[in-house]
Amino acid sequence: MFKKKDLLLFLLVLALAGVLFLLQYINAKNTTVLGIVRIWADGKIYREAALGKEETIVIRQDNGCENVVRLTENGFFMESANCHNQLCIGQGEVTTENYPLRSLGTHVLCLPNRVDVELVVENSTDMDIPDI
Amino acid sequence: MKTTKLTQLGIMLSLMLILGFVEKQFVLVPGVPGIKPGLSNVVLMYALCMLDNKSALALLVVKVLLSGILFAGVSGMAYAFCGGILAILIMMLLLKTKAFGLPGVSVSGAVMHMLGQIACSRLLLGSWAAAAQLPILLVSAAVTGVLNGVIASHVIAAMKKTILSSPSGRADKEEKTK
Repeated sequence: MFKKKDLLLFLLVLALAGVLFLLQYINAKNTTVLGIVRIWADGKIYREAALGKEETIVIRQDNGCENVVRLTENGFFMESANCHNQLCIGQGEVTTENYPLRSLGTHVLCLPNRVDVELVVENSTDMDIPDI
Repeated sequence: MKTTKLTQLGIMLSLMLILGFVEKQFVLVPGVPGIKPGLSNVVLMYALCMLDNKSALALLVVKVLLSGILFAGVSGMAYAFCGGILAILIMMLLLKTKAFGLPGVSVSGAVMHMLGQIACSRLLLGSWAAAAQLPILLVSAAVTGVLNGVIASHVIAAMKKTILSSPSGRADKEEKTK
């Protein structure tokens, strides 16, 4: 059932994950927070808000999608959404301290509603990934 | 033979749908959306090994369509399709070359499924934001891939035995010899 190559592939994928995580972590540690929260909806910038004061932002789109983002003292989280899977709420809070270790980094994503909330940091656009 | 195959495909399709539905009911790793065991891939690998590529592809496409209509919505359908097609193509290829056992095939499928979904998120969201999850998604693809591969190996071995000793298996053979 198990061939030697299977084990090799398994270890290779794990190693790749480890290397990528380290690169991401080092990269994130070298960024500075700009104090802006940028909200994307349907691939376009919906709104930018200043970080630091508590605020509730409702993202209402023409197609009926609705997300509520809550800004906290040093971060934000998705308070509610009318999407079907509610995963964006489970992603928790992004803060100025925790983003290097979060699995989604500086983002909270709601894929069904096509909403992306981002803590803007310097270098965040210098990712080494080519654009499609 | 035709009726047997139709019945088999029907049972397998409903198995895939129910496995997918059960997986949607809970978040496996809190804080990380998108990590699922992917158990319906066991059924798909069974189809690839015991039936043929065409049937497996048909199973995948119909499962994605139905699951989209029943549970996941249009965007969910798009994600499932991008991931699923890439996964099944690499699995067909690797099964043909026979370089890997089922665990390796399954891990490759899981990795391609994930890459397809990240590419899909690039198209739908307009940003690479979801790519930040690559490391943890790779780990989960490796772990769930191996588990599914092991399960599929056992299921296929057991089914081969059952089919050989069951009346329907004999009927199949009789039909073929006619």
